[in-house]
Amino acid sequence: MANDIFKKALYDALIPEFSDMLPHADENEYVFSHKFESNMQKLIKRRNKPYYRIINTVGKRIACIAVIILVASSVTIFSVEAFRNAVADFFVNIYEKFSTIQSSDETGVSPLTIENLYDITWDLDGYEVVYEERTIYNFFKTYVNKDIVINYAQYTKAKFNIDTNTENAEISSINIGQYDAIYFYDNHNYHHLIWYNEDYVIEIMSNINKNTLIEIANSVKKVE
Amino acid sequence: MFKKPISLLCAILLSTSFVAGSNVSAAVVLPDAPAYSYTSSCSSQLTITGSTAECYSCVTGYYGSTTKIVIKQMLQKKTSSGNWEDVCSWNSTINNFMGSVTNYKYSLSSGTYRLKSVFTVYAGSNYETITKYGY
Repeated sequence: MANDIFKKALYDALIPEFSDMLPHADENEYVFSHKFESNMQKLIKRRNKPYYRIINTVGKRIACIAVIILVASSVTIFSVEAFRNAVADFFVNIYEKFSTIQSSDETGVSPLTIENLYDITWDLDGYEVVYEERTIYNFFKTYVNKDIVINYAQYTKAKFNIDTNTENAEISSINIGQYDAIYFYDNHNYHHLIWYNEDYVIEIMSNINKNTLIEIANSVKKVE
Repeated sequence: MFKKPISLLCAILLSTSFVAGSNVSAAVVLPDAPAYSYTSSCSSQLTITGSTAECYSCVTGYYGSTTKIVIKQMLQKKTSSGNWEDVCSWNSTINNFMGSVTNYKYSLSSGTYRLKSVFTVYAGSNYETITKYGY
């Protein structure tokens, strides 16, 4: 009995004291970054997927990838369905003469229409704009200087699904600043870069040399 | 619980791969695929809001090579038998190396729709035709 009374007295004395030591949640209105929120949304969505239990550890993921590769290696022999690759933030179906490149907007946090314009800020002195078009889903601009052509495009992520000429091209991934980009060199001597900048999909194709194109891509910034 | 079926599946797939002499290639051959001689990329986008369909088709050719683009858009509805039938169609001509068209169809009945975009891309008198579907 005395033991119970002692426990109650101890509880009554310590709990309010400990409670006062803790900072109150409503005093900390921390605003998380867009990237953090985006990653959290991805995690939550992934957690809600019915197959989450199958891929929730590294071992299981490796096993799944192994099975997918085996299935793909078997299926591609007997059918014309394309091998579906994940490159950068995109799904890529590679056919002999073209590829389908599609964005994967799992989070649903990207703008559904073009709200802000991004453009090349690299010095384009001497270039002439020969084509410009803006819709609610896309923004296109083509710069030309003698034989050099730079095609710039901005797409909403949800709507990005293109068939593009990749005949004899090798598709790879390279970094544009902090972003992973798809890179390939087509049979018309044009280099292509496609990446997702957390808001929009950006594509630049040009017959300028590769290193300069990467410099140009790194200069893409919000302009409006 | 699932170990045995997964092991069995892996074994079957492995044996199938070896028997068929698998040499995995990412590029898949489509017999009727166009050459993309004058086309860099194309897209076909269908957005349905309420009973209105927004049909957007876009193509990018090569500056200095591509001269004209003809876009035929067909809004198609899935029938009960699983086939697709045209609800309406539009033709547009663009005298440039790239361009896009947007058309609208109002008062749609309920059902499953897709946009079929047929791009005929010209370089002088030569041309190629590419089809792309949007869902």
